[in-house]
Order: sequence, then structure tokens, then C-alpha cells
Amino acid sequence: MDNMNITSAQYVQDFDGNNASVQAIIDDTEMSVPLDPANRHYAEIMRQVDAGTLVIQDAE
Amino acid sequence: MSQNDFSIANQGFPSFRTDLNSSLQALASNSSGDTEPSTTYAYQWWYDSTNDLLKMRNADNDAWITFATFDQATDTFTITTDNIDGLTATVAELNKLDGVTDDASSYFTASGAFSNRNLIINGAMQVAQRSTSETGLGNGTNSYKTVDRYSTYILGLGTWTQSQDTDAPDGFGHSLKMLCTTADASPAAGDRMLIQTKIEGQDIQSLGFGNTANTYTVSFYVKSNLTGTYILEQYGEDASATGNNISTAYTINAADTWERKTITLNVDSGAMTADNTSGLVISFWLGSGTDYTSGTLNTSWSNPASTDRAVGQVNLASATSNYWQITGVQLEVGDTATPFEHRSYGDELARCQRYYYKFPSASRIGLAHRYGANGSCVFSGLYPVAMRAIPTVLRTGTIEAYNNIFTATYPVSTANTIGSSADSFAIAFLGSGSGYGVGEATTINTDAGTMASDAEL
Repeated sequence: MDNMNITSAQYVQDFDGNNASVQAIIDDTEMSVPLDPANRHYAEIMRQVDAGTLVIQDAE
Repeated sequence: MSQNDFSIANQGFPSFRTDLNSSLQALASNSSGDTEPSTTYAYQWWYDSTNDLLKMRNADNDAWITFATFDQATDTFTITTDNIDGLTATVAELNKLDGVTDDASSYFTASGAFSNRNLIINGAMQVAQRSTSETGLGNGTNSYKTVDRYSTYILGLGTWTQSQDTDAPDGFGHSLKMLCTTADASPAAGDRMLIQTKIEGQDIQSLGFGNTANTYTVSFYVKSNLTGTYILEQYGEDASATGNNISTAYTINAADTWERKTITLNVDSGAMTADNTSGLVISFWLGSGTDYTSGTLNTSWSNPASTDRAVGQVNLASATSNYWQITGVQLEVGDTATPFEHRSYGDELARCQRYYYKFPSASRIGLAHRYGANGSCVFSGLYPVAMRAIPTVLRTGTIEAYNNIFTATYPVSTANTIGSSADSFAIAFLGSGSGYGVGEATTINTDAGTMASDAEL
């Protein structure tokens, strides 16, 4: 299958200040993506990051 | 032992008496003898004392039908099953049988299970948590749209409506339907359209990938107005010694008619990893450009050229109103397509919820507590079914938090996963309201929006 269309990605932190998930817009849908390699959305985010086509913004 | 031609000749009384006694003894002993009787009649019994077989003459009187084998040492017998076409018995009667050997051509396969045979989830298209109909599916569609566990991939090839349809073969309530609303009679070379379902590697260990002597069978009911050749492609996602794709052509013979198709394959030589990632991908092609059709169909497990993947596939997008429907998808161990294994809606829903869980759309679906400024709160709980992996949380529309102190609802602007697992969720809602303190409880309303967790393959 071809790539998902990821138009934004930003880390979200938990109460302890650790990155807990990635807030992303994927195929025009707001998603909160966990940092789990078995999650297909996270796997695709990291694939695009590794390919240099996507940057995950730091948490606010 | 006695045999007789059962024809009393015109003779004197002593000879008549001898002949009559011989006839009666032959009847009493089922014409037992080392060789068959010299004169035979339709439906006549013969006990073959050489082989200890009880036989009956057929209606045409030109052959013997073996009924049973006798063991005269142990005074037991065995029913000869070669000619049995069916057996009617109660469970209690069956339980009395000892040493029953099944027949691979019967419904009870030699290697398959009596229950939980079907390794496909939602094969009868019963569950559609996301939607029962989606219109305007076109170029770039690459996700799950209606029926659970079946994703749609479209590149070029027109515009479509996908639905969970109530038209289905006898014994089924639903099918998945693709209806062409904008045609593409001349697809570009790279165009293609597929419907896919995926199975976790750990759930198909029973297929015995790695030992090419093992077989499995895919069966399904399909219907279309467009007859011709269609391609079912299977892809093993784990590494393989020989490659991991195989394509099989099937034919829709009659328009607008439900047909059951069966495909039996030997497994690939590569083993399938037993984990929660995708093991086997099953793709139903519905159309393709020449990039996937200009070679020779790849009918053995290999790493084929793209041009070999869908050779012969008709173009379902060739005309508006073309449609394709499918249901009763089954994948099972062995070389026999057994009748579809129906499961209850509740059973199938639970299986689907391992991959996708849609939170109820209602007011007060659960409790959250405020944890910070600006009305933010955390909604946490357990999933009804442990999900395949930590899921993505999706939100559309307006989610609201509400409590009696605040006496008003406020919209949630984002829903962030924090600390969730495959079993539980902890979702931080960032809102804009105020009026109640940190730690106070609030209810979550989803009746103006939707929220779901996605752990699909």
C-alpha cells in the first residue's frame, strides 16, 4: 500500500513530562498515535521520519 | 457353508428333499463360501469366507457391494465405509463408535478443526462499526471504511460507494459491496483497486507455513454484474525462502448471481512468525492498469515482478453501476472448503474489537477527572477486549465534558493518548472551560462526536 497522508505530527507529553504520543493529522483525521512500533500509524510516521519526509514537532 | 442355485429341479422326492435342504442352508448361511455363488440374484447376500466379507449383490446383478468385514477370532465386525454416502446418527450413537476415521472429502477434514475452523474475522460481513455506507471513495483511499477488518485501496480507477449490503446468499445476512459511481474505462498503467483483510501471524500457525506439504483453503461467496476473471492475491508478510506472494485467478461465471469460489494452496516454504504483526494479507483485486497485468500471472509463492500480480483481472471500473459483492470469506486448514462457519454477532464483534473499538455515542459514557487548567481532564478506563497493540485514538466532531458543578458542557479541542496500553486507555482532553477544581469528576459526552481506538493491521 502507498503512504498515509500525514500533514502534521507533534509529540504530546504525559504528566511526568515524557513523550507519550504523537498528535497527528493523518488522511485528514485527527489522531493521537501511541509510541508503539506495532501501531500501524506510528510505524508509518517513523518510516516517513526515517525517509526524511516528515518531522515530528516537539511537545509544547 | 452352503451355496445353491435356488432353483428346484423337476426330480424324484429324495433328490428334491436334498435340493430343498441345500437351498435352505444356503439361505441360512448367506450363501457363504470361498468363492461367489455360481448363480446370483439381485440383492442376494454372500459371505465371502476367504476374506470374511459380507457382501450384497447389486440391483443390476453384475457386482458385489461389500457391507462389512468380520473378525471371526474376536467375534467383531467393521463397517466398510468405502461406499457410505452419508450417516445419520445421534450424538449418543456417535459416541459409542470406536476408532472412527474421517474422510478428507467429507465435511470433517482430516487436518482441520470441528469448530473455530475459519481463521478470517468478520467473514460474513456482520460487523461494521465505522459506517454502513461510505460514498465518494476514489483516488488515494487507503483505509478501513465500512465493514470491519476489510480495508480499501484505490489508486485511480473511478469513484465508488462501499456499503454493508443486506443482499447476500442464502444463510447470510450481509455482504460487502463496491458500487462504481464514476467509471474509468481506461485506467492508467499504475492504477489499481483492492479489498484486503489481514491476519496476525500468531493466529495462522495452524496453517503450518514452512512445510510446503501443508495446504489451506480459502472460500468465499461473490457476486457481480461483470463476469470474467478476478484475482485473489495472498502475501505472507514474514520473510520467506522463496518469496511471499501468490496470485490465483477465479472466474465469476454468471452475472448478478451468488457463486461460491474455492482456492486451495500449499503453504509457502517460509515460516510465519507467531506474533501480533501482520502474517498473511489477502487481497481481492477489482481492477488494475498494465503495471500489474502485462506479465504472466504469479501462481507460485515467489517475489514476482509487479506485472505478474493481477494478470487477467477485469476492470470493474469500466462502467458506472458495475458492482462487486463478497461475503462468507473463510480460510481454513487443509484441502477442503467446509461449509461456512457462522458465528454470532457478539462473537464476531468481540473479535473485531481487538482491532477497532468505537466508543459509544451517547451522553455520559464514562467518568473523567480534571487535572489542570483550562478545563482539561483525563478520561480513563478498560477496553472491552484487549487490543492487538496500543491503539491510535481518533476523534471527530465535538466531545464534551460535563459536571453538575460546572453545570455546562465544554468542547474538547484535542484528545491525546497518555499512558494507554492495549488493555486500557488514558486520554487527555484539552478543553477551554472553567468552574470546577482539579480532581473533580466530570462525565464525557460523545453524542455530538465520535471517538474510536484503532489497532488495525
